[in-house]
Amino acid sequence: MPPSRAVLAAAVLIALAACGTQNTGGGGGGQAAKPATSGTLTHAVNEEPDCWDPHVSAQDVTSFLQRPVYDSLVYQTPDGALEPWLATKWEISPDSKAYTFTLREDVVFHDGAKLDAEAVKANFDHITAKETNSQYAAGLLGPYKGVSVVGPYQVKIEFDRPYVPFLQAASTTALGIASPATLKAGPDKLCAAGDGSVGSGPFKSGAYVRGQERTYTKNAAYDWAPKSAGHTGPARLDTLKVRFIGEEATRVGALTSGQVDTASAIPANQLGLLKADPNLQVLDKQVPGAVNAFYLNTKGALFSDVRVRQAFQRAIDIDTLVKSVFQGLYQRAWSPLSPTTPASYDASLENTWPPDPALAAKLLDEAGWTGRDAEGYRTKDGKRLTVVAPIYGEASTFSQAVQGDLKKSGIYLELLASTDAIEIGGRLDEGRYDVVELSWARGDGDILSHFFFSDQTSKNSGHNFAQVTDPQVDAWLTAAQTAQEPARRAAEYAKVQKWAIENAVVVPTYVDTQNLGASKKVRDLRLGISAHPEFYGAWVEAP
Amino acid sequence: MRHVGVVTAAAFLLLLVVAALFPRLLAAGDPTATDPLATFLPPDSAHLFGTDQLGRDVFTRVVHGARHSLAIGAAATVGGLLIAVVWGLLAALSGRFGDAVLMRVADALLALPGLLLALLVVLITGKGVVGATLAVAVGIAPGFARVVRAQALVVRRSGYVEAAIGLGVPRPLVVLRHVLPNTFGPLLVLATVTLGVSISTGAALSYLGLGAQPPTPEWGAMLTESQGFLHLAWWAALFPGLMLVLTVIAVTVAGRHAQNRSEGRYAS
Repeated sequence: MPPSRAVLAAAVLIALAACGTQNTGGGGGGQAAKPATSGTLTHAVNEEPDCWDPHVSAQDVTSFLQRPVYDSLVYQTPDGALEPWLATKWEISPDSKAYTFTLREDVVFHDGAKLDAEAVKANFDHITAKETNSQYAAGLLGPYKGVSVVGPYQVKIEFDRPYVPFLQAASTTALGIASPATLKAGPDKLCAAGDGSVGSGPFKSGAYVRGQERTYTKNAAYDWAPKSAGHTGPARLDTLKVRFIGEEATRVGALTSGQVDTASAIPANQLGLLKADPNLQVLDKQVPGAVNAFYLNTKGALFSDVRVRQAFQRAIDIDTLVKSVFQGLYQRAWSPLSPTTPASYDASLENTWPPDPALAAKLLDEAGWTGRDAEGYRTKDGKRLTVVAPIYGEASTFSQAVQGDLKKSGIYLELLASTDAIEIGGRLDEGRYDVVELSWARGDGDILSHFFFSDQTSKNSGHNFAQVTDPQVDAWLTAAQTAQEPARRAAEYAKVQKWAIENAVVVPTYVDTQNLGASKKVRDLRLGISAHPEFYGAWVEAP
Repeated sequence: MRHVGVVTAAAFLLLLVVAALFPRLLAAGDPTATDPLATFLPPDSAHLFGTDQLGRDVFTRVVHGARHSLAIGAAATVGGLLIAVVWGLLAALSGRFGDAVLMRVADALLALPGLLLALLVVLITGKGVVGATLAVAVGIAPGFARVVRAQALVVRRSGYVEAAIGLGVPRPLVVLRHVLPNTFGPLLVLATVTLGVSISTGAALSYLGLGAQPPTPEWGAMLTESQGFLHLAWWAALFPGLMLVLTVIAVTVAGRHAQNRSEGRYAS
């Protein structure tokens, strides 16, 4: 018997509902239940910070896991808009060199200290102090000149040249505001989490056992959430627990068995499993900022030749690999910027540099890589065409897939995986590599400066792994930092993206995507601008 | 009935040796060739053991992996023997104090499980095939050293050694010509039995990411790579794991057989 029309219609509706790709706002079923204002949520993450001081650490996971504890001057909504948070308003000087923030007067840190202009000044002084050895936050401040107290609740931050990206930078956890007393406690205490993390956020830092679990408790006095946070007053959860489960299968197992309520970074190949589970939901969001990409060392012996760079760029069948490794769920990237980066993505690059192994072969022949060794790799003067790729941790399935694909073009991608941070750091600082593969989350197109501005070298804690030193690129990036109108900034960033692709200093691969698995009992959990969950509004339905 | 087991084990080992020496006889393909359009294919006539997450043929990888897995085990056993011979002979021939020091060191190391000792050594040697091999070698050496010493002590008091010394043969020559060869018998038997342990310890190190590195088709490394995809492709983990188990069983059966035979011969 053929299915009735009603059944068909229902099936179509279900199929349509399942097609939604950007499920960034969580919340299970449609009925409006009254949010619980107590309870515990346990979240599993794949990484653990080396140092928990967001002013020091360059790790994305530090920013994510300290967000519940530290508030910032500015809040960036999941859509990328900037709105007041600890600052009620700000004034930007006409030359974009000075920012004057007016602070809320009712904010109290977890240790009882009051937020005032002096406290904010102490934070900026801490970030920029030489002995803090900031790996990322100081870099976000760009051409920083200094901070000064204008009034009890007014603070001014100045730059040597116009620096428009500062406002977004001020919204990051890296520039989060800590209680000034703890900033004097020294790096060991600040790095150790526990009672070393004292901010003004909706959660207080609780017990922490390295390698296992960190606990956060509700800050009952919290009453200064940003307007778009979803609700006001204290957080709904009493307790938030974060468990560190690096092993993918174990993390997914913890979620499916109910040991944790939510879990970050679910690998694409496990998503089918979660989506089929009636008790689970999946939230996903493309991470803004720099997509996963290979940065080619233009000062290295191999990739100083633009023909070899272009060959590397065109040899990889990126579409097929991304589709295969990520089960068709991730988008292939055409620009170093993610499409979700607010007002800066250049969509005109799409489909402009498709894979072309024949062209790659021709370019390699021209560059003199004409020989072949026993394993089929190209050689020149008896030396194999080896592309050295240092990797911190383990080589991902995607990296290995690229390795396999490049072999077909006679290119040996040597994946040098190591958990020795000093060894990898040394390689990067000294330029002993041909490519570096990475992505970097940031809700602003200025992330391009970290990758292509000439002074953003690895030694300076920047990410200019392509070692670009082009005055024209610097000029475009500077112009983008000077212009206040988003459209003008976008135009400058577009020039940089186009230049980077045409000169093959970067080979973008896929748009990093956060896949968060959650029990359907978890409600009002949403993914923030960096595609990490925001726990402030979340609550768990009583069993 | 006992012989059926031994013959089966021997036949299996022979097949393994062929796979290790001439893998292309059994699987002509390239064990590292990827195919993004053929990932996670279940076993069928084209891919006997299916394909893995990169579309590589698991059968080809298992066959080519024999070389790496056996090589780590065999090289580590030989390395362990070499260390043990020097260690044991020095202890047996260096007087009471030297003997005591060398054997207490062996006792201390024997107190640690072999795998734990190997892990400690990898910290020093660094990961990779060479580091892992050395680590396994050091892990098994103390046990061997005790056997060498015991055997050397027995041989040293034998008539022919005393005769050689009496005839004025220089001491180093006595050790090389008379003592060493006569300690070898039981040592070889012990080595055969230990080979299985060495192979599995080597694979364990690779499984932990400390031995063979991707894309090398080593069985332990293949297990690690495939465990994240168990729910999608059980075959990518099952076959290398099965080969590892069968190999260790076969080596142990053959080793025990050799041990029984040699003990029988010494007794008679």
